[in-house]
Amino acid sequence: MANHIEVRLKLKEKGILIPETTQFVGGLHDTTRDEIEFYDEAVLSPTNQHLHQQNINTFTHALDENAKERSRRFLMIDSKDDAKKIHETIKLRSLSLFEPRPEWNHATNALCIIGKRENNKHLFLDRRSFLNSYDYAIDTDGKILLGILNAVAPVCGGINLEYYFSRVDNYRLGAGTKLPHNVMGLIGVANGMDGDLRTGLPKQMINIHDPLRLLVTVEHFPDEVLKIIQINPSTYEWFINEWIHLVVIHPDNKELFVFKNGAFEKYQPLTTTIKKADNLDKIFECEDENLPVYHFN
Amino acid sequence: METSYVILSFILIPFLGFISSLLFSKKNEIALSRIAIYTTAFQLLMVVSFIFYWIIKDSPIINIKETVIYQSKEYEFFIDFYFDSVTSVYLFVGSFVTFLIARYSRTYMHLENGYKRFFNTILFFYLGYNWTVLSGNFETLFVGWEILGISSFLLIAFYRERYLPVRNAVKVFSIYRIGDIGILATMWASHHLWHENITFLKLNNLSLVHQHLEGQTSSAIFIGVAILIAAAAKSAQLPFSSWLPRAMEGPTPSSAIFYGSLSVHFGVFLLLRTYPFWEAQPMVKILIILVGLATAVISFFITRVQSTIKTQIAYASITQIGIMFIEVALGFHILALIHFAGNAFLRTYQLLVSPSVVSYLIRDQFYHFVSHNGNGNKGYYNRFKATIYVLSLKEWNLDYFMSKFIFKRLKNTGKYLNFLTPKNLLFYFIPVYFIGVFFYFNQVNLSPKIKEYLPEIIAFVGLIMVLKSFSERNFPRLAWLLVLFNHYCVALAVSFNEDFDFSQVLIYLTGVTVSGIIGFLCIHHLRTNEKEHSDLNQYYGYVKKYKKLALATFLCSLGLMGFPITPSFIGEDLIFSHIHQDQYLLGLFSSLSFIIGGIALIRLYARLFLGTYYKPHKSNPLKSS
Repeated sequence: MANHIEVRLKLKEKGILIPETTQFVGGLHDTTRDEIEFYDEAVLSPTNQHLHQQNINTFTHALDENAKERSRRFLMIDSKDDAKKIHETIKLRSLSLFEPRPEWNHATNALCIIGKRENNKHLFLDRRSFLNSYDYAIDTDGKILLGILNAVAPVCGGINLEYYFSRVDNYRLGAGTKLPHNVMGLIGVANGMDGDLRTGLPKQMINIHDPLRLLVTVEHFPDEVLKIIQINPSTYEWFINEWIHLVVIHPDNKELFVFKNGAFEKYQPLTTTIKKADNLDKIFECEDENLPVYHFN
Repeated sequence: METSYVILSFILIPFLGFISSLLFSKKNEIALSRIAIYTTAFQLLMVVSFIFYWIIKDSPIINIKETVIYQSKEYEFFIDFYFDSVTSVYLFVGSFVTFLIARYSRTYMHLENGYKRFFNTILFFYLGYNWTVLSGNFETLFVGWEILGISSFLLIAFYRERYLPVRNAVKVFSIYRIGDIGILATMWASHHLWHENITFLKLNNLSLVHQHLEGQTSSAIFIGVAILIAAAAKSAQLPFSSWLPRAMEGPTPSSAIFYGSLSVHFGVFLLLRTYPFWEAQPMVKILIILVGLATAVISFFITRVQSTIKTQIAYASITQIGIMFIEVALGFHILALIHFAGNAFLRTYQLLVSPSVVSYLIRDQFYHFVSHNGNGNKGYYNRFKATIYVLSLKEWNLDYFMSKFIFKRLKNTGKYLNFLTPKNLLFYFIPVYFIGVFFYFNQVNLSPKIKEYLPEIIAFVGLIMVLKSFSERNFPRLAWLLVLFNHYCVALAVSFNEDFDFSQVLIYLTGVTVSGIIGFLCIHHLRTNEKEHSDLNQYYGYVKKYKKLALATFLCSLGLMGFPITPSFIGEDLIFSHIHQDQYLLGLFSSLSFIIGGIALIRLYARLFLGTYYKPHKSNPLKSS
């Protein structure tokens, strides 16, 4: 879209200038297969074509590594293999009819970070967090944060609680084991012919998930946040009822405040240091449980 | 001679596979799945190469008289195997599909509770399948038939902690048992027709068959109808159709192997095998064609309105099998075999991809969705259409019909016997029985008139006992003992018939007595430990607490119902052969009590040991889930 001349003209009127030499390429990241497919590569100029090729190489490498990291949770794949080889098996796996656990989706989710990406870029979070880039400095009236929280509470919180309850009582709040499920209409699944429609998630999706309520961290001043979360009652009930936890990180002194009974209390964390990960590859090969937060190099 | 070893190995391989799969611990998933895969792969390889060899040799019909298990001067019980084109097709399709399923389940079942149980049952089924396909006479066939019935019960009730699978498993097992009446009746009638254990090989001898059936039209029609009942029950034809969709309770691959492809085609197999029997009876032929046609038409409409994918596939399969029935009756056997193979492969595939159907259909709707305006209800045509639609949606009330007219009837009859409690049972039946025994030893004093009716009366008493056992709700031990007593009644009743070797009665009664006593002790143990919660009013799910006791009770139930693990099975056949040709009532009473006894035992086992564990110490599934 942004390659379109008229679009660029309109943007120019708004003061956003895209240089002639810049071109955009659409792509689709298939997270099951760890593949990126690019569209309309033919429109690229020769120079960009060259650069794009370099990017593709980077992407390919990253995707291989990503496949390897993901594979530590897949029991039928040997994570000790070479990343390329693992990637090939993961592609095969994605097509397999007899794999009831094709992907882990949001399983193990535990954290939602709303703040500057620079502040957590050095952390290894084990794919367990939702990341929202947010800079409190440019959000003077709090509208942006409100927008983010309005989405985070029902969406991330909803996902989290769905996993939470499906794990806590898989028989009744979850969908039970997936293997006998029978697709009913295009409405849902049931067991056999005359069972109830099942709610929640099947056992195969949650068996690596630990039931934790979502922890939302916001990088902002506690007083401001307290005001903002109370604006929208349907968002506020998520916090006041403790369906999800909220922690505010003071931008200046990095102190933590936890939201409890309608007010922010100061919080002293138990852990003060974060371990450094020397060789993450090695860890991926040997561990298949949840990992702690690590410091990259 | 070498060929016969190869054919026997088709039984031996699955048997060894089944036995060795029992030996591994349930944690050892790799070993368990490997055994299943290697067994089926090796069998497939053997089958394919043997069929090639066999075709090169001009496909001769092979009959192997294996072992004679029991022999007396007028009777011989032997295991017999048989190989012809029907066998070869069924053998090949069976090995191929089971191999695929074993491979599929290896990953699919990963980390599921009961991984071992699943592979054990699949291999047990496989043994029964090959046994049935290769069998060369009715007795051998019946052994395999029983194995199939039990393994399908186990696979449907695979999720034994839930109520619905267990209930449906009992339901399906009951209908299978009703079908077994057909086989029993066939066995009984053919004894008298041929005066021997007829092999399928001899049935191919047209002049011999013709000569025997001459002037025996009623017998021939009786056998034909009996075979049709057995075939229709197994293949879910009318009026038994409703069991098939209800059997879709196990994990997807087991549904595929059983109800989509292999097990459900055994009705066709039985018809193909026994074709020479009823070939010359236009009555039977027309009946088979009518059943096939009615099923095909009705289940076609039912298929069109099914709301769930698995039941849709089930009814579609039933429709095709209806057409196969017609083909067999018209004599197009090659066509029927091709049809069978095609249907089996297609349904296996469809069931295995059925979990993905959502993504296919949603994509399809995305591009091709046309909203439906409805036709209104004006005019006869539209009203007729709506009627058919609603009828099909209700599956033509087949399930309701089965439960109302058969099982409710049986239960209500049993209810009249509520005056029977463990105590007064002693006062009513035990004396009656001993009077019977007394008469038996003092037959000289009996007037011939009484003597003529005595067997029927005693068999009827036995039938009442199993009916009571089937409808018993309070006393499991009583229900158990009643089934055991019934066997004694049948034995006594037949003893009046003619003089035969007492050892035959002994063979019959040892197996049931031993398993009856052990089983009684098992239930007694449960009863004393769980005083308040061990009646038969609901499902208690004790398998969770008493694993070994449950297994023992299950094995004893099998023994007591005459499953071929005890000598009783042979004895049963012996006893049946002593029921005279004109004693239809006696035959009816004893086969009915035999069948209902089996259902009562499985019901008892299911109620005590299967279902949701009643103590909510952990999270329990909802009853309706």
